[in-house]
Amino acid sequence: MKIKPIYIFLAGIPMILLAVTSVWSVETVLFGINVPLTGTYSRQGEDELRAYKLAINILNERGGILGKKIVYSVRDTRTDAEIARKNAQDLIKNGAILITGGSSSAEAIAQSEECQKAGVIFMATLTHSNETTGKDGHRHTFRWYIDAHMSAEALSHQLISQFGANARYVFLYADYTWGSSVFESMRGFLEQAGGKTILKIPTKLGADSYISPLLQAKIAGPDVLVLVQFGQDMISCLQQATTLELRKKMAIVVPLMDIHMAEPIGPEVMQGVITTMSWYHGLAEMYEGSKKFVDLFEKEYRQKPGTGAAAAWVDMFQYADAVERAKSFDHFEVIKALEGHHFQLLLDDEYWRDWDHQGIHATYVAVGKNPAEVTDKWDLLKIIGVYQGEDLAQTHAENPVQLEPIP
Amino acid sequence: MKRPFSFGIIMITLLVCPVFFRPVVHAEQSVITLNIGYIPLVAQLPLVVSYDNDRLNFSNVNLSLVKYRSFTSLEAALRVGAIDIADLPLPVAFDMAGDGIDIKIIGGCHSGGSVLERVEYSELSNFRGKIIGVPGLRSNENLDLIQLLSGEKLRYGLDYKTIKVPFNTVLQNLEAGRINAMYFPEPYGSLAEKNRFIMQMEKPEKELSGRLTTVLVARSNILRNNSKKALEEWVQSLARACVFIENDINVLAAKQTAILQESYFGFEQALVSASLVKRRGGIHFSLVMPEKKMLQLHLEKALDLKILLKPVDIDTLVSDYALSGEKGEPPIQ
Repeated sequence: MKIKPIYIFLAGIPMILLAVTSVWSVETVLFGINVPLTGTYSRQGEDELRAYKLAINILNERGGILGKKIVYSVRDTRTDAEIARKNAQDLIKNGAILITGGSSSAEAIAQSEECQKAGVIFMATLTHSNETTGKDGHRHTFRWYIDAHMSAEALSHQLISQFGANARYVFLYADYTWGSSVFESMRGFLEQAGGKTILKIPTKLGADSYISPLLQAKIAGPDVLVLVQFGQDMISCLQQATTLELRKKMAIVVPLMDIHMAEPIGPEVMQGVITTMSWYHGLAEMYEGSKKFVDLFEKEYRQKPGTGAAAAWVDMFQYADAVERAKSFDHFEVIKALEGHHFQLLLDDEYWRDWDHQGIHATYVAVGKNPAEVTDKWDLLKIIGVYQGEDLAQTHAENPVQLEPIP
Repeated sequence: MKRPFSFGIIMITLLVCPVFFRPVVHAEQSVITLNIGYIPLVAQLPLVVSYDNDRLNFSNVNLSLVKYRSFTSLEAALRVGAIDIADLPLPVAFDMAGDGIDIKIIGGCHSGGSVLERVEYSELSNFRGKIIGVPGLRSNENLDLIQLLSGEKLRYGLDYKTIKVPFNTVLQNLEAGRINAMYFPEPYGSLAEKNRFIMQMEKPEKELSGRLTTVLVARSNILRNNSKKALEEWVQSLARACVFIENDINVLAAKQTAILQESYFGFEQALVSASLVKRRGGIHFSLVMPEKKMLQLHLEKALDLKILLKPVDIDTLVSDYALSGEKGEPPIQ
């Protein structure tokens, strides 16, 4: 008996449908990654993006989160807070259950506001302003990165011991929330000890030239010049300060540093620059978690991760872990799982403070190595001080933030 | 006496200043810029996936991705050297070589991905008297369709016509009834079906499934020694992109690829993921070097149909540069 082709075709339909539906029924969750891929902080955004992708691949290889695979949508904030805000709104509209990113505090704060309104968790990545977990803090926002207060206090100990309590300071600071936050925090600590601010000049984010404010600093003749710049701005400013030979007459402090700022500058310019960091790839020699992260990152990308990548790594794994512990993607359940949670991911003891959602862990003071000490292009900084998070973080009295209640 | 001295100081300052205040960008001689042209088509996904996944991690290549809206503009850009590499229909590559443009076929990154659809469901023999839209007369879709319909004793140009329809007007042409069918790269078939202008042919799907439609064509100058490292790095990235898309189709119902294409192609995510999961047009992504014998057959077919007028030497047109997959894997033949 000959079977008509139409019957063979009809018999095959359920099998085709079964195959198609089984693939389509894959459950996924959407993460929104909102980082600067152009503009002043693009190197830091790229660094974060690498770590996000690596972490997501690992989480998916492990089976996802609560059995749901992660898909992600990447948006470029262009180092602009309003674009970051609009991107966050779009991502939320597309169904993102987590938003993460920010390489400027203004961007992070804008995203944080949108996430709070929508009830979406925001894991703030590279944001250093006190306001992120301070007056602009929200229940749905968590920040592992150190804040300006921590950097300022750690630096002030170093500067007072190195230049004396009565040293004279000039500040060039980025004219937005982060720059002001760092400037005010540092001035507070240094002046309290007897130091004097003899000149302060706000500078435009993304400026090409710092020659004019640097010449004013040169004329003022401080003991220490503090450059509160980040990303490409810091690279340009430090390079120009070196070219103008300011460093023969004064020490230079860059309150916040990242390896992707130091590496393009190189050891000749970086030597002697004093800074703070929330993490450094050299910590791989001390902590197993850091070693694992640095090894995986280097294997994948043939370069060292920076502080932004470290924060992105922590954000991904901490969010996933919180969901697993909460056994739910519900935002309030995840918040409860994160608040007060202690963990060891990159360092020895890290935790999320419950009342402001600030990540508490060590702050590192470092100095640019002498070129003779440098072993490769990533070996640019030497840690000269470690300050515990609990000792540096603002108290509740100093940061009287009130996060929104959980119903 | 003072004037020459002041003049000298000014001159020295003017000469020295640019040296001091030059940008802090380190010129890396070994980094070569590759300009890749693409058209928003499902079949061209590896080009944008490679760019999106790897552009931040290249050591030897600075990748620039340029969007075009038609094969005509893509071809023109390659002809004048505005781009270095493009994924073009095979007959277009033959035509360019015939015109003396110094290009090479360096391989292909997909097979299939074009779907034959028509307004009313019917047999192929019913194409008599119909007008079928194709992406270009010098396209593999046109050649394959002519060959397929010749099996139904339908004569090209006499019993039916194929006309070139731009991507951006194909839906309007269908809606207005200016064409009765289309054989187009995805997602245009999916878009037409979604808008209920058309339905997919059942029978021809098998014959036309998984066909070679486009090939990667490069300007010969990028195959020279100083660009080889850059090209090698990009090709490896392209191979990874193919694997990425295949894995994504199999594991995540192509959702990640669908999200990623949105900023380059602008198509609705669900449309692209459905097209990929259903493997419409028998699409499959992998780096391949089409066999010379097959290229020769396509050339002869195009010459027979007078779609091409000048023969070309396939041995000269195909690059000696063998596309290789992931590091450590043997070159794909």
